[in-house]
Amino acid sequence: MINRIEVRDVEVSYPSDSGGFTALSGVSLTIEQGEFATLIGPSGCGKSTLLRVIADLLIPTHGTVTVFGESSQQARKARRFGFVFQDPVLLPWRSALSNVCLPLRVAGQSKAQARKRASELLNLVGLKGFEQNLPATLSGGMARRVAIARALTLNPSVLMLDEPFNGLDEIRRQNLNEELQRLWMEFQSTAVLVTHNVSEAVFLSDRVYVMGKDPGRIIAEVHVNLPRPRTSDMLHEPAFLEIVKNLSVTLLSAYALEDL
Amino acid sequence: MSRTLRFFTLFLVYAFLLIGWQLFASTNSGPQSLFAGPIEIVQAIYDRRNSLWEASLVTLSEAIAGLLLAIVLGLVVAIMVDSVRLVGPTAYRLSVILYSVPLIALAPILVLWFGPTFTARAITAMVASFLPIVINVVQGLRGAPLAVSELGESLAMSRFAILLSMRFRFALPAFFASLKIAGPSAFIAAMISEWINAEVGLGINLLYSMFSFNVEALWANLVVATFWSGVIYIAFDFIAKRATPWHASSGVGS
Repeated sequence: MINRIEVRDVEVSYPSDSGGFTALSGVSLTIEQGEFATLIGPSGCGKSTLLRVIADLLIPTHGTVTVFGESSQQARKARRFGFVFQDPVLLPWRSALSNVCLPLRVAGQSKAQARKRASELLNLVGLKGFEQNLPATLSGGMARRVAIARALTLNPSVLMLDEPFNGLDEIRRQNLNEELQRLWMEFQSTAVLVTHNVSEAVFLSDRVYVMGKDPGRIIAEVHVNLPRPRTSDMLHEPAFLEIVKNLSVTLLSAYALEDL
Repeated sequence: MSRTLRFFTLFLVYAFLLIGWQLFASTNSGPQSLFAGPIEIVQAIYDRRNSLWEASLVTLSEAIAGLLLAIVLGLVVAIMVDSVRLVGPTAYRLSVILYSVPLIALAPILVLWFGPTFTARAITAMVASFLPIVINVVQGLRGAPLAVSELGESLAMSRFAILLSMRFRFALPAFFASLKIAGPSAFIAAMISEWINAEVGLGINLLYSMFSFNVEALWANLVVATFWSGVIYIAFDFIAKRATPWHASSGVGS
């Protein structure tokens, strides 16, 4: 058993008559089991594409992905990925509880079992009492909590987070990041986060991959060796700010003039 | 207050129209008049209530049978267009061609094939009403967020399961909206089909009334047919709002 996610020489390209478009080129990376890894980079660098390649939602043109010794397809078929998308994508006709039940029901659990587990998870993300709410009646932050609970229901080996707190204000974002760290530690899962927020990346990650674009590629790898659990107080400590500064400088080099 | 005012305004408009109509009809009354006022029409409907009811049942059953067929065919074609890359575009083009055949030309052919039967009339109604269902459902399926499909895939659901249990639910409001168009279309097509192929029904009644120069019967049939067409629309509007309470168009929820 290989205890890591390995991405080797991945290329994703879309051929066309006018020369085509290369979304990812020569991407290799390693994420150790239990690690919190982040992909950061400017818009259009292919970080979401890479996340989808790892989760077998997109088949690369070249290259391989192995997830703890299995191919990414085997891992997906075995439901080892728990996904949180940019938009919470809750099914609007299902209550919060029923949305969290979905993966359990798909995995073949009985309704009673699923409901029991789902209410535990809603409890865990702080939504006790909102089980019967339809998504339209939940705030943005609450909807994202439901999405996280849903992603965790099957105890996934890998938690895939595609800009999960996009569009939330700073305070709520930080609050959810702390929740996310707590849940990740509690579930002892591996996490892969896509973000363009430097402070968020440093706060959550053990390892940050900085990506550049045209074509999308990895340009740097930064380790974050801050103690856990990290708290919002740490956001103002010199050690934290030092890493933020270094990461920002590296990231800046990934931005082309027209991005700024 | 504004609600009462709106109701009152509507009432005035309708009252004005009806009274105007009645006055116009009265001034044009006489043995050769082509106009029947609301009072005469109501009287005519009442006098013919039994035959109108019988004719309504016939035409409605044709329309409903046709609409049910249209729903089945429409959903099958929509799913093919959405998910079966090999035949989807062809199925769509064939649907458009079939829908483009004038009903008045199609109906005789169906009579040749199926005889002057209920089946021929129901199929005419189907042809007239299935394309709006296809178009709306395809658009509804495509309108489902991409991330919903990705969520399903990440849970190792089959494409068909994702389609049925997730994407189709997103397409439901569009499906119901299409029935509001398809329903009355099926009804009209059933009536047209009766012109060449029926002994009883609202459509053939219109024709009889015209040939016998029975103006009041003609108007009575017209009003009853319009009424049923409207009822079909309102019924689907009602069902749509209750079947998709999460959707903005229903005015419930968000």
